[in-house]
Amino acid sequence: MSFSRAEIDALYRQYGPSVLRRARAILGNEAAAKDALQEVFIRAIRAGDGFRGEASPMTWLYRVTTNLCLNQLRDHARRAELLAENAPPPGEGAVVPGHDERLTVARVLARLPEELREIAVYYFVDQMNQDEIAEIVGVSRHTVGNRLEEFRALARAATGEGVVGSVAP
Amino acid sequence: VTLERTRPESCLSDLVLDRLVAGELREEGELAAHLSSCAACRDRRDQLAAERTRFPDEVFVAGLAANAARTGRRWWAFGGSAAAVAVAGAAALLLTLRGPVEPGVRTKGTGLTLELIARRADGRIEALPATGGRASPGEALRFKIRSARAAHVAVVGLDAAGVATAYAPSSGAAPSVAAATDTLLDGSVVLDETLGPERVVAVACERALSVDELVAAGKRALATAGNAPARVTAVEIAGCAQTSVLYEKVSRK
Repeated sequence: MSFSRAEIDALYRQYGPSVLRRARAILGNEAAAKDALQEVFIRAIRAGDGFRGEASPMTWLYRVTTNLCLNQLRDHARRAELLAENAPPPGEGAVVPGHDERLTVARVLARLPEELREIAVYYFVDQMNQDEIAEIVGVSRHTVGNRLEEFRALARAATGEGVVGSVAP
Repeated sequence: VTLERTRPESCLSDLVLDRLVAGELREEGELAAHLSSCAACRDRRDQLAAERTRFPDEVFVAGLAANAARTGRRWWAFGGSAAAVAVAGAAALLLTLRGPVEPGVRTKGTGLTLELIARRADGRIEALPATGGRASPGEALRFKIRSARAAHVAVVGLDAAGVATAYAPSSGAAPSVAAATDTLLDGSVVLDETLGPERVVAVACERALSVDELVAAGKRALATAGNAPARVTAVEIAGCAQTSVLYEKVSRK
């Protein structure tokens, strides 16, 4: 059964703030976050009964928002690579970011292997524990633990580069 | 360093607190016990709750309407360069109507044009044709306006269910646009499941009319037309130019 206008309105008010906040946190860009907000709700509307029947619509929206935003970051990174490949050499108009440029969550995520990104979002952005992450990602708690270990290794390797953050013991 | 936990794993996650604030969970049992003993989680819960009270001002929703980004670049961000080409190519499809007009009849020389630009289910961005345009639930529309004179502009949708909805702006006073300049209005609408014809009316006024005024005029026009958008010829807004586009909302295949 499709959504009525009133239902869409209610859903947006009930869940929109969370979706927008998370999209902002992951993407680090207001305009992109609002795009993501709209896209997530378009998907929810299209899902119809599938979404309505979710035991926790919030959990569904978390998952969709995370995947959408990470896909955006990946696509953006690919475009940036293409631009870099075709950019003029420094001194001929290329813009080189300064070393003191603020490292956003998006930039940190972009430097992580893809298989770590989703877990990193849930762990650092959403402050989930490992059991919650295992459930929402659909992997074992053991796998989550291993991924976080990989993250710790990356953090140690990157010490001094200011690239990745810390994992709570 | 930007990726850091602010709360230990023994604390409540944002997901749990979001579900609580959204009404999916009740504050009882272990959850209530933790909150009563953890200031960090209480603060975070209160923060998330406060965030919700600001949301309606930040992202307006009236029925199916949702604010999108403020510029074409933002709105088309997912579409990339192909979308930009589609938008540029759509200029040839500008539709000019003057109210009162007969359904489906174009008029010229009003100095006001309205173009509906659809984001399709498959991500394509395209302008609806001047007549016989179609869109489906879940797709999104934006509104491109050009006024010969500097004016305050607003857009209202009149649908087959007899409902008038402010599309742009979503609330408050109509924004101003420069003379003879294509302007992609703030806001977009995600189409709901109400099928059938929908008339989208744009008005351009010297004064900053309110959206409420436009919606009220739209409701009167629909009532006069027996709630049939195709039979609406104009909305009664004194002293304003207006134009409209009639399209058909059809079910998804």
